Amino acid sequence: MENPLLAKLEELEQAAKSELEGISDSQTVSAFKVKYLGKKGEITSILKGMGGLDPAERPKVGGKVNLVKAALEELIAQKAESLEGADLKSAMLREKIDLSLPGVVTESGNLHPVTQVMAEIDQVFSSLGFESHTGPNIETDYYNFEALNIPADHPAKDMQDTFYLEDPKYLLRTHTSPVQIRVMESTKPPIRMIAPGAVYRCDSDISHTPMFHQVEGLWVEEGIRFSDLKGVLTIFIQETFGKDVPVRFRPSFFPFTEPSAEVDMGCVLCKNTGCRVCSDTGWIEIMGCGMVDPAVLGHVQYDAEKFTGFAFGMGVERIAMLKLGIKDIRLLFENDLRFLRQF
Amino acid sequence: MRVSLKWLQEFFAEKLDPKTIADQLTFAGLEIEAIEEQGKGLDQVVVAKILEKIQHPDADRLSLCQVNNGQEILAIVCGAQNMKAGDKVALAQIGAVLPGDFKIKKSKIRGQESFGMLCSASELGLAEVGEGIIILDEGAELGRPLAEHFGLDDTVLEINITPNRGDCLSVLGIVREISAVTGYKIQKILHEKNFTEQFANPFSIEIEDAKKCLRYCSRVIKNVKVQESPIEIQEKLKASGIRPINNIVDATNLVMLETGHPLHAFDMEKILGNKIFVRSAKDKEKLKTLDDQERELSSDELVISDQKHSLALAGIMGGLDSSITESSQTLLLESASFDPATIRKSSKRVVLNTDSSYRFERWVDVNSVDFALDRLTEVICQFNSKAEVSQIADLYPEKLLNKKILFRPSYFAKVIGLEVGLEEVKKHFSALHFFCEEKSSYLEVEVPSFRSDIEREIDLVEELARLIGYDKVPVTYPCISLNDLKSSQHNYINSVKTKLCNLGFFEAINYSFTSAEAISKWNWREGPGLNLANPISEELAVMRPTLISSLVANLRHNLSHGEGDIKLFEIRPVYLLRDEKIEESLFSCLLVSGHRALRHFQEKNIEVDFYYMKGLVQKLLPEALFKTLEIKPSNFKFLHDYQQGEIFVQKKKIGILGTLHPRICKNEDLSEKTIICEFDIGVVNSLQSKLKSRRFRDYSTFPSIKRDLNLIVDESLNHGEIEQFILNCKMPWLSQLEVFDLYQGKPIPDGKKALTYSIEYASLERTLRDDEVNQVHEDLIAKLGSSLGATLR
Repeated sequence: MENPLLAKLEELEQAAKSELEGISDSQTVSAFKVKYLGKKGEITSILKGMGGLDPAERPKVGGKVNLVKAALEELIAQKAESLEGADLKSAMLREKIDLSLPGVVTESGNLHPVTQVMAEIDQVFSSLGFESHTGPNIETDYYNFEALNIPADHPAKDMQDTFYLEDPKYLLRTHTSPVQIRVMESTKPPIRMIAPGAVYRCDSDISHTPMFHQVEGLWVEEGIRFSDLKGVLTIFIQETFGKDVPVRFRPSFFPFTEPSAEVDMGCVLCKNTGCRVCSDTGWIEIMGCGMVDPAVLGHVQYDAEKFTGFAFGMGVERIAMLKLGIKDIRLLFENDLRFLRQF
Repeated sequence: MRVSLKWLQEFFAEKLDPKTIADQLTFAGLEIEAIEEQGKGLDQVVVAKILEKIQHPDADRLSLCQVNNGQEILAIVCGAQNMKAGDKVALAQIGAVLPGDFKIKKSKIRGQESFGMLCSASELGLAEVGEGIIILDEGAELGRPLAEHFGLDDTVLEINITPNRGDCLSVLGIVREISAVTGYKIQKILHEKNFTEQFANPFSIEIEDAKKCLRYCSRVIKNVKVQESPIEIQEKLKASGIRPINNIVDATNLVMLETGHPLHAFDMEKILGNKIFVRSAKDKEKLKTLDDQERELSSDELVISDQKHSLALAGIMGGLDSSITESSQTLLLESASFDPATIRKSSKRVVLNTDSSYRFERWVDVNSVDFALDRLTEVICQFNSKAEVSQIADLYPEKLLNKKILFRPSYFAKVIGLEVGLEEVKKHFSALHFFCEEKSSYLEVEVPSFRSDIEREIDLVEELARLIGYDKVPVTYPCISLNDLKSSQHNYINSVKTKLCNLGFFEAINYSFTSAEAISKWNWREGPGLNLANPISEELAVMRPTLISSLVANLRHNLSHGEGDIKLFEIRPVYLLRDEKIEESLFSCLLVSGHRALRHFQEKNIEVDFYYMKGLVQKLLPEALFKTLEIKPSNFKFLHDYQQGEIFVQKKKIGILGTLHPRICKNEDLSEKTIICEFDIGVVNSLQSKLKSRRFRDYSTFPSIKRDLNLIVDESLNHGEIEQFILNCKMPWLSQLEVFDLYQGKPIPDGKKALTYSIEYASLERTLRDDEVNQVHEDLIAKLGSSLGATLR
């Protein structure tokens, strides 16, 4: 006949299983574990009661006890895990958020569009092997005019309405060309440089501000020709405004270059077909340039028979306005955050 | 310069198309800025006759006209009062578009239909102002387009003549250019001299300084009658932008426009004696010029005078007293050439810029001074058949010879990058009236004296290049040797700008000049700003010694547009007069106002304060320099009395830092929480460039031990002093020291404050034991107690 302990075990297992099923929180699971599997638990006490059994019965009962114990442990672990999951879930539910609320934004500011455009220009010329130089804003007549072949009492001076300081020895530079003179004075060719910076002219209306910015450039070396000037400036314009932009050179006059040219590029707005921005011509005047006048090379003691070079200059605001679609130049100097944030 | 195409056309057999000529001239260096079609806006405006004029039944000020336009009778309502039945008038018919995009449509005015408009001169763009409608002459042909009636079928080219091309400030100059670029032959020869010299010139000439007046010619003409010029002449003048006055003045202007030679006619009766002097003005000599201005001259000015009085400001403007009037009968004509710099200087000094001075400043050819006078004589004789002409008086002290310049095709190729043949060179140069003589490998080029801009071989290179066409020059790409690489260097200033942007700052750029008032308020530096001699306005009159005033102005602007949290920076040069010397330094200025971060619904929004700005400075300075940073109390009146200081690095004062003074904030409507900081970033840049490059620092791989230090000290004791004291104690293993709390108030006694530090002890060699660290920490506490009077909280 079957050992009554086996039947009791069977019963216990059934009872325990159904009890466990009814448990819905992890504390009760712990208590349950103690109740059945603890040191004084019911299964444990059966094991303890085995001492009185017939030795032949022992392995049979012991085996069954272990089976029941393992089954319960397994069930308890499962139960605990599922209850913990449910707890976490309800805890997380309490942490549910509104996904549509705004994120935390760390605002980053911007460089001024003029600085940005100057940096872009610098980038292109740097990759072409040009070095950037700066110089003083307050200049002397020599560096701003005389060394650049603009003699005193010459109408060419009228091209650039000049601000003078109360001490008439000094003026506000009307272009960044003086930087070229300063660099040439202290360096031997070859020279490849650009000079970005603020310049000043007594002019203030809807399209002129008394201060604006220029980037000027210079390449002096043996063997530099006007055809090279066309090459370098075409690369620059196409790098800056688009590979397909047409470029043309028109004769002009600057005292410090000869021959001199104005550079036009196809209007970027109408794609060279004519619009309001280009006054229906399809072309936009973008920069001035030319071969460095031998007189300028003479001023810095370069041998003009040996060295030739080209120089160019462009207005940064004009390029910024074209690139960014800004219509009124004065907006650039109001420093309105609604403006600055856009770029 | 405005040039009439009709006038240019007189010189050529070929038809000049405005667009083509404009392009050709532009690509030869004479930029056409505009092509003005005269009579534009006069389409559908015709000559008409008023048949009947009655009062408008429902409006006192309007009349109702029946008008004949040559084809039909139209009813027109008109507001003008100056016409009567029988008058010939300008009728804008339905479909006309008048200047200002004013479209004429059939309309009903107070119940009466109107089929067009009778126009005034101003409505048609023919005059600036005009009262009443135009009444045309009786002979006007009905139905004829008004443009034709007025001869407004010309086209005017607006040409931008560069300062080197004084020779192009005339019809003749432009004609020469057109001929050179098109190859068209010039048909008309101006100088026919179809007059005879009937008597000797009673005047002699004396030139005081032949360097200032290079040549002076004069001629007397008797028996002239001053009256209106023929219409044809008036039209030419008007097209060129010059107002017709009378036949004599008009003749001088016409010949000036034609030849580029400014000319003058004096009333001979008003000249004393029979000698003309070209001399420097006497100091304070007075002359009333044609514009009715009494001018005080100096010895820098050149005048034309008789034996007693000055008659004209040489090369600039005639005198009023000797000018032509309606009763003038005998003229003394002048044609001359003056030194350009002399004329420019006096024109600047007397602030008088005229068509004459403009041309003299840009060189008037000395060798055609007599030709211009002959041409003027000819034109005056055309209007005055009874005129009697004297011989010419011509004083030309030193004849100017044509320049001869050598030209090497090889040099051209070297500068331009294009090979040219001698034949091509000669062809282009002769088109410019340059005479070429072929030497072995070069040309000797003789340049006529009207081309004062051609002096050197490079000038010839430019002439040739522009005539060949810049588009014919190839595009080439020069090579750079790899051992000659240049590029823009990474620089500290740019890295600061980038950092500031990443910290939420926007870069501002303000004008370098500001008002004296702003400077007196915000300048903290030892020296004044620099005044401009010719500022645009008082607001932009002084070169700024500080950027603060500009950023505060930007703050005010943005606050007024509803911005609240503002972070701006500017990095620009500033200017100062120190010890009579101009100092130009690169400054950096930061301004923060409002809150530290953007508002977010979850977070507490903290306002900016002094320490926020100080932290930014820490971020911007290289670490090695920040370690030497000191902020010493200062006393600037625009800053908060107790929240301001001067910034020192390496013991060198570089700037200031502080909260704006509450009074200024209140008076100027600025946010109270505005902190500014300005420092000489140029100095920082040069200091940082001298720093040793960074090296790796070893750190402990063993656990460190942290201890808090909760001190109660006198209120007057600075954190800086405590920190310095602790560091000076050189406690073993001390690896980090950080202040993390400051508290004042109960239960801390009055006059005291609590400062909490966190100290970290670590060793590079081993794990530290608690007891040995405790010992060190106790030692430190004891030292703080005995030396600084600090107690533990």
